[in-house]
Amino acid sequence: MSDTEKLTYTDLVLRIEAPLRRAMIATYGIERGTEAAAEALAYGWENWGRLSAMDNPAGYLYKVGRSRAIDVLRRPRVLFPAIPQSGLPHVEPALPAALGRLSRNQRVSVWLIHGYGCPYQEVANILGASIGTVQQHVTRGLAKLRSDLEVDDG
Amino acid sequence: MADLQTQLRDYAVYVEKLSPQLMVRATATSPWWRRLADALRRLREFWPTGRVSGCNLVRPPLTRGVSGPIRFARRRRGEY
Repeated sequence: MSDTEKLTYTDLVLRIEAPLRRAMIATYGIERGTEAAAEALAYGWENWGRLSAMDNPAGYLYKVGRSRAIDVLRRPRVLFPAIPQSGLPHVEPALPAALGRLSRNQRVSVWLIHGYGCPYQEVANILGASIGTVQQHVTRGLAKLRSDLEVDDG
Repeated sequence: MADLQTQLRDYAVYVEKLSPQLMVRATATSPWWRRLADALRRLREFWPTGRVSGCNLVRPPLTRGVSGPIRFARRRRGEY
């Protein structure tokens, strides 16, 4: 059994809340993603007995959040917030829309790895994929973003 | 215009500032709190006072739909 057996739910939340929330935001956008992350954490609390015995609780809760987000999928929402007029002058205004056009796994991988500097292993755990697969998602996602935004900095 | 990875990092910092505020709102407006209250209500079976850490979040379910004298009798019997 892994060391998660000794964890309390609070320990788990402190460890995975940020990456889980960021992954859900990358998947569903900022509003729906935060709702899905909150739902997943609530589910984790209710089912802590089962969750505490799992080797990859973050990956499991990511899947829970995805299934919970289906409830609100019909609501049309902007995936990512627009770049504010006054701040971030050097960020391309088309970036949020371009992120929205990536595939789900590409978006989660690019967002977590290049946005937040998450380790590849952590992203692989959340997506339930191998590190090699995550690397492919990142490479293809960045290439697609560069093509969409017509930048050539690679 | 900065390179793509720097743009992603800066934009992520901006989104990160917004998302915890939304997280608070999501937990307050989504069914999250209702499920929390349900779970606390279930917890009450093992915690007959209906009070958790001094917060009277959970009304004892036995008091709902029960008339005053019955409730009074139950309380005297120590049911809650």
